[in-house]
Amino acid sequence: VTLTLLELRRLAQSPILWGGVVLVTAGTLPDVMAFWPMLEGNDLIAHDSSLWFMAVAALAAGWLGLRDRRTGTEPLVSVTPADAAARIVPARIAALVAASLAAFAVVFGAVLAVTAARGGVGAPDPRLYLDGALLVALGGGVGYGLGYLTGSRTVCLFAAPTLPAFNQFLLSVAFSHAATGPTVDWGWLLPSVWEPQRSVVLGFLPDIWTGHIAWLGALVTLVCGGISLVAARRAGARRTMSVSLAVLAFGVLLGTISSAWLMSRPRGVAVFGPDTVREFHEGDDFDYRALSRLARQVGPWPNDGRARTCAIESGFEVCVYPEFGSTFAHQTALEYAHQARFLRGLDDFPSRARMVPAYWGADACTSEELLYFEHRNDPIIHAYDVPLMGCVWAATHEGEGARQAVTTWLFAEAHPEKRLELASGRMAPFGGPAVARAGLALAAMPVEDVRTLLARVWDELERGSLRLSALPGGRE
Amino acid sequence: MTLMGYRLRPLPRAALVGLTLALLVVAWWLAPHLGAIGAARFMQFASVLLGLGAGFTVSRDIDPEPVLASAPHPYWRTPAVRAALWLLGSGAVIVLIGAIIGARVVRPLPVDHMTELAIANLVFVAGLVFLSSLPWGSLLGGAVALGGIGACAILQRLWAYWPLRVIDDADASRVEHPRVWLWGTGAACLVAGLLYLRGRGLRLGHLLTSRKPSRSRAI
Repeated sequence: VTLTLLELRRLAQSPILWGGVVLVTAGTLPDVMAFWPMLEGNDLIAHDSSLWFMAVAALAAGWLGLRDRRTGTEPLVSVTPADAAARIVPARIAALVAASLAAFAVVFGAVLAVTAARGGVGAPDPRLYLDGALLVALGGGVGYGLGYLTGSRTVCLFAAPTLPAFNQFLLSVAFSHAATGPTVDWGWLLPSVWEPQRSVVLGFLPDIWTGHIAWLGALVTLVCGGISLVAARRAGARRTMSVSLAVLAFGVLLGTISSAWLMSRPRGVAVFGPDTVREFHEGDDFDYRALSRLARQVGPWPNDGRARTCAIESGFEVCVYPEFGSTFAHQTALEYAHQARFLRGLDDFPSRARMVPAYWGADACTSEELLYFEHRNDPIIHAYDVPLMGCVWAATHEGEGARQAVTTWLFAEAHPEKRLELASGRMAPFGGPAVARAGLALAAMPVEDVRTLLARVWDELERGSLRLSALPGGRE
Repeated sequence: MTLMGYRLRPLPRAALVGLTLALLVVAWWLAPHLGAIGAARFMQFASVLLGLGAGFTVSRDIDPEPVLASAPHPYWRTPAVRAALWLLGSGAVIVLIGAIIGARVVRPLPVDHMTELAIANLVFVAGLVFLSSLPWGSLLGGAVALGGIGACAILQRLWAYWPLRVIDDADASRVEHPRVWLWGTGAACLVAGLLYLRGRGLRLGHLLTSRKPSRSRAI
């Protein structure tokens, strides 16, 4: 224990580790700021940063693994009594795992602290911290193993960026197979996975985290146990060898159980209604037309009373899940109130929006409500991704340019300060530069003139037959 | 040739050759599964990894001081030759990776453009790691260079006009001629490193050293 604490104290002074904490936290913050602040949501962003922190841990651990060689104390260590020499490596590994858990806690905590400071509410999922921390510990274990076993700076340096990058490339292989047919069951076995779809109401779809934590725990156990075994064997320390073998056996058992469980998990889950769920195990399961038919049969998500944080703005009421907070409800109501005001008289629009889970819905509206699927985008943008017109326009991909130009016009009218960003391209337009030009050309006209123009072409817009070129400034 | 052989002798050749071979094999295996973005990312990653290899052409890890203390000091020409050879070899590997990806992808990709960007990345990363390996050695210098690349990636997300775009996202970029920036910065770092070496010899890591080796004793 004393040796472990000593190593831990040295690791706590590692500039690589601290530099990594600063860099990874700084790299995560743009993502944190890009979404609506929610603790139950940004915990996933913090979790994702573990992939890059893994590289930092591998570098710091590789440096530790090379220490005896670097400092020229290798001959000294090799002539110490066997048991003492065999204790050094397990102590360093234990310190490494503890330092990984602590350093990732700093990153995870910083992301959540920023979220909370921005007004985020909800409860973060502690399993995401544990999963990320174990990934970092795995990177540390592999880095230390490479440093200790190969004694090569070259291998240690190249391994650090390769670990996360190779994980990502393997993910793309797993998903490209899944999309083209053959079953690939090892997608969830990768150390870092693409996070499953998440809903504050339905949870993760599918929920793999408990099994994945066990799987990562098994990998960490196997890596650390393996290194300890080699060290004990080199030193001829039988007791340490026995303990290492027991640790390895535990790792194999845990890995077998958790990997079998993970491989049985579906690759995706689609929820069509409270009682209708479909799991996707293979690419062939994903028959878009059949699933759309099923969605139409099931119909819109019923009002289950869970969207109970409401706000009313200019007669438009929005109800969202409590995890999104009252500010979100208020902001969304404000955006829809803008849309309702500019579109008044053109058609019969709903005067209420209700949040529904991020599910597979054929209809975005009921007869009197707009169904606002949960999404963590800022309502300033999201309310225009799901505009009021969606309730009255026929579902078709034809004439999308003209429809998006009308959405852009509504957005530019509601947010005149964003017009310059849209025009310059600093803000991504809703449907490309041509659509942005047409929307901004409409916004440059008096509002009543635009309403008169829209009233004239409304039937065509509704059917989807209006071309973008028919609108002012709309050259396709 | 004999002199060249001596100059290249201390390099970790097995690891460096192994790395390039591994990259070629992985490119062959991954190419059919990569889309346009995946292929571009893979080439950028390969260029970063190969660029890091330049850290092993110069540092006290490669040319240990106890050995050099009693031997003629290799001057700036030795690391210059090594770095030039490494850049040429790595550039060839990137062209080869581009050719493999171009031949094995399902849909045609702008491989020439991706290769051009990857080579600019290679020069930038190689320059960065060459310079950072001088005071800190290959591993720590490589870590510093990786940190620099990470910082560039963060800055390019925050500011569309940030010129050094290692993981280039063409849609978000507002920079004209990003390749020129990468080439220029990389070359400037390499030249700065060589000038430093020319002034001090290969007594790396000892920035406070005052002894300047004799030019006549250089290899």
